[in-house]
This record gives sequence, C-alpha cells and structure tokens, in this order.
Amino acid sequence: MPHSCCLQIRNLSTYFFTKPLIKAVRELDLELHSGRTLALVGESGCGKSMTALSILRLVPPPGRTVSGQILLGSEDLLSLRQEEMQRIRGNRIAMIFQDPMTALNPVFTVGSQIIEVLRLHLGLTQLQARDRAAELLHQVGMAAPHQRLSDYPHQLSGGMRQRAMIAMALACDPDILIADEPTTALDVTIQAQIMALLSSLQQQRNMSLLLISHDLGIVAQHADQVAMMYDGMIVEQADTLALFDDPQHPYTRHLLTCIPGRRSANRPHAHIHSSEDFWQQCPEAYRPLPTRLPPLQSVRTDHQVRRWS
Amino acid sequence: MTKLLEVNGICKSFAVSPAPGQKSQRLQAVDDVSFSMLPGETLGLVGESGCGKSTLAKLLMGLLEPDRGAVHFQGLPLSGLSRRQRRPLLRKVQMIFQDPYASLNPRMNVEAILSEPYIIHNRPQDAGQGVQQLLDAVGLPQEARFRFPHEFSGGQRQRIGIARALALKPDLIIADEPVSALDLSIQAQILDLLRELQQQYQLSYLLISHDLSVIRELCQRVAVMYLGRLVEIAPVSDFFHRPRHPYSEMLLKALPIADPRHPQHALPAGEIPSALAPPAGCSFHPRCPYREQECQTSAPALTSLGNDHFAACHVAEKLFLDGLST
Repeated sequence: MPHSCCLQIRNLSTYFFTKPLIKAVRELDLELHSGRTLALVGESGCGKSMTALSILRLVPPPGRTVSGQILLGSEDLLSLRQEEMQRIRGNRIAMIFQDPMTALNPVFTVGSQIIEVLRLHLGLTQLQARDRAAELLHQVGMAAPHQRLSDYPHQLSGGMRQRAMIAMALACDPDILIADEPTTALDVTIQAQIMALLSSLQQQRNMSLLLISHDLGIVAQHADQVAMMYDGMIVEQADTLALFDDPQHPYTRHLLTCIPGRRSANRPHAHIHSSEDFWQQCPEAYRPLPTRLPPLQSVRTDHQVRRWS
Repeated sequence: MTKLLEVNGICKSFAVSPAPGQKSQRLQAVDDVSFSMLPGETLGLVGESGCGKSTLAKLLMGLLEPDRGAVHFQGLPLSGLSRRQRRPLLRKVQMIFQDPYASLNPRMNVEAILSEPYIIHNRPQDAGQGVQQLLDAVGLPQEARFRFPHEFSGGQRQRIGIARALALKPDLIIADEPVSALDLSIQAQILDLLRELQQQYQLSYLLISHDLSVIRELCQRVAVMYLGRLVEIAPVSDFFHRPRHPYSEMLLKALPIADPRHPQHALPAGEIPSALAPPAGCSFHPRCPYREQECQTSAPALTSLGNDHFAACHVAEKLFLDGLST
C-alpha cells in the first residue's frame, strides 16, 4: 500500500545567531508519510529537537529558521503568520515531550488542560469537551477516566502522566505527531507500554509519527524509517532494516558499535570529543566543506547517505 | 576467600507523609536484603525507579544506618562504629554518581576536587602526585587540573568523578547509574574505562543501573530488586538466558533490542505499586502472569535453585521462563 506524503521538508536550515554562529539544522530534507513512523536519531546537540521545533515554528531566539520549505499539503508553514500557525499547532501537528511533569501545568487538573485544547481548537462546549476528554483518557489506557480528569499532574505516576500528555496531543486528531524522546524519563516496563500505545494509536488513526530518540533499541523496534543526524545534518537515511543491516556512513557505523552488548568484543576505542575531531578522522569522501555539504546520494531505493559522489 | 562485602538481612524504612496534614506512614525502602560479593567481582543491581536501589547503595556506603541487619566489609562490621572508627573502612568504598553535572562542586577546580579525598583522609602530602596519576588513569590531560567542571563535556566530567572515586585506592566502587546521563558513544567510552580500571586496580564494582544491556556488558552477576526486596540474584549468562523470577522475565521482555528483526514481546502488565502500600504476599503477584493462590498470602524468601542462582518465587521450580535468545 503506498503511503501518502503528509509533510515534506525541503532544504531546512535553522541557525543560532550566537558567537560563533551555530548551524543547528543544515539543509535538511525529510518526508513524513501517513501511517508511518520516521525516527530521527542522534546524540545530544545533533539538531533533532531543533528540527522538531523548526517544524512547529517554535525555535527560541537567538535561533531562526533561515531557509527552506515545510509543506503541509500545499501550505508552506514557514510562510504562515503566527496566528495561522496556532491553528496548525496542536490541531494538525501535535507534539509530546520527554518529561511530562514539565510539559503539563502543575496548577491545573489534567482534565482542565485537555478540555482547554478541545474548546480552543474544536469549539466544543464545556460538557461536550469533558466527555470527549474522558473518552480520550480511556483510549490511552487510563482506568476510571472520569475520576482522573480531576487529578492534578503530581497525583499521577510518570507513565500515567505521559498517557495524559498523549491524550492531550491526540485531542484534535492530528495528522502528524511529533514525539520528542517520549519514554526517556520512564522505566523499561512502562516504556514498552507507552511505545505500544503510540504504535496502536498511530495505526488506528493512520497518523504520521516523527519519533525523536537517541535509543537505538526503541528505534529498531518501532520505526519504519530512520534518519541519522549528526552535526546538524542528516548523514544517512534508510528503511530501518537496511540501516541496521548495512550502515553506510562512518557515523552510523560508529554509533551502532557503541550499543551495549552489540559487537562489543571488536569495538575499536572510539574517542570522539567534538565534531571537528570526528570529521578529521572521517574519510574525505564524507567530510563537509566549510561552505558546502556533501549531497545525499542514493545507495539503493530508500537508502541515502551524505557523501561526495 | 574472604568475602569483600557481606550484607545480612538489612532493612531500612522512612517516615513519609503522603500529603500535608495527613498522618505519616512508614515506607519500607529496603526490606530484608542479603547478598555477598567476592573481591574483584562486578555485581549489577537492577530495578525500576523507587525499588530501593539507591537506598541500598547509601546503606552500603554507611551514609544511612540500617534499621535491622548488618553490613560487613572485609569481615568488619560497618554499623555500630563511631564516625572516626568508620573512616578507614569507608576509604575502601567509594561512589560514582549518575549526574556528572550535579556531583562536582562548580566552584572547585579539578585539582581541588581530586585533592579533597587526600585532605579528608589526612594525607595531603600525597595529593600532588596523586592528582597527576589520577588524571592519567582516567585519560584526562594534565592541563585539566586548573580548569573548572563547567569547562568539560559530560563524558569528561564523569571521568573527573571516576578519578575522585579512585583517589583513595578503594576496593569497592559503587556506581549509581554511571552512564545513564551520557550519550551512547560517550557511554561506550566510560564503560571501557571502567573495565580497564578494574583490571589495573583490582576493583570490585557494584553497578546500579536500570539498563540491563549495560549490566550484561560489564557484570558477572546480577541482582534484581522489586519494591525493596531482592527477587533474583544470578550469574549474568544464566540470568539472560533463563531468568527464574517472573519479574526478571518481564524486565527482559521490555528491553528494547537494537535489532529490527528481534520479535516484539507481549506487553508488561501494570505498573509498580506504591511502596507505601505494597501488595500482601509476594509483592509482585498483582502483575504476575503465573501467580497462584499461595502468592497472594505469603511472601516468598530468596531460595537457592542451584548454580549460584537464587530467586524469591513460590513457583520458580515449576516455571520455564523466557530469556533473551541473542
């Protein structure tokens, strides 16, 4: 079954105008398809969260998106006014964050926060919204949803808070869900439950999921496609199987050997302290020039790596 | 061989009040835990948040006094000593912390941080040479001496923390989630470093981690905690291939394996119950797929199943649980 493309990012660059200039996202191209999960993978500072914030146009100053197009259908999000963007955020593109305790407002009940979203975006009445909120909590697997509506975030466990966050994100039936490290703060058994919940909700709603993660275990188990980010750029992009079976880029290969327990016996002593270090050690064919990045080359269908010819 | 560490039935509870104005309750953080470690051994301690791992670490460090039970280190009791008497003993047990950002004083430079253990233990004359050796041992340049923690990356800060723990030539290092705050490639470097140092200094590690793959890579034995109790303790390969406690099986199945071909397992049921109101009987029984009548009423004791494998489960003998195939 062909999957229709629902978000297309072309040549996106987001820079931070500090001294020195930080190129957080560089010439990024991505396509999200409905019903599919794309994982954006990389280590801290590689630009994966900034990519997500760029999509939602929430890049904090002094950061600014300097070029590119983000096409949602035929609309370019980068050309919308802020008021128009509010209609997109939470409605067509929703986001869940790593730490549900900081993303939920501690002084309002879970119910009132979900109801606010429903009334704002869908124009429901208080009563309608309350019923809908309870139904959403039920869908994300919370027992006694009507009682949970009047709980404050601190009264819920970490896993339950993340479920409440997901319920809020799904309130308006978005086309695209961006999940930024959704399970990093959770224990492994709860992590497994939350990931399974996200997968099943995605299937039911034919939603596109952009999964931002540093955990290659989660990615291997849940993503259809993987985009590997390093130093602000996508260095390799492929179907999950192809990426794990036949990694092309030196960085991808390096990261795969760092997984605890995986090929640990013949792990070379990798000491990467900075991206300059890494690019110095890296074969020239992959090294970016000061002004130009290597282009993404196709290795096979659905497998691209950034290198010179 | 004399045991390095012997823990006998230690218990620790805290008074907590669930909400302002409500009556305080007892929270049993560590409940009747016994195990021992041999010199040079690496034992992994795994469990979900709130299971009592860190309280156990504090009891072993002598930072908390157990309510009941005793900790013996190299045959000597840790409890019942005055601070002064205890000090030479505590020199031999050191700790590495999870967060390399929070565990170093931001106002002290590396030299001051690494000299402090020598000063506390009345050997300031050893500090100069000691700092030099420590920096070499953990792979930091000598110039690092005069720099402050904020000038280092997370991985380098963790190296400073490790150097500090090594200063007094300990026999046992308790590492509480030493790599969980670090990126994958930095994690691998720190795990390599811990392994090298172990050989060089004949160290024993008690590695506390929620990440079973880290434990599998570094440890010889693994101990699993659930709601303050030890539910299984076994050699690593046995544990990963054939766990004997249903909770261990649940943990192994929940572990995300970095291999897209690895089958996805059935989902773990339920959440860890509140430690303030642990279930009667076996505290795992509400989440256990194999529970029987007996499990709801009596708590199982940790019993030997042969081959150095212990589990606290009434039905362990009957079960054949799944481990990891890879």
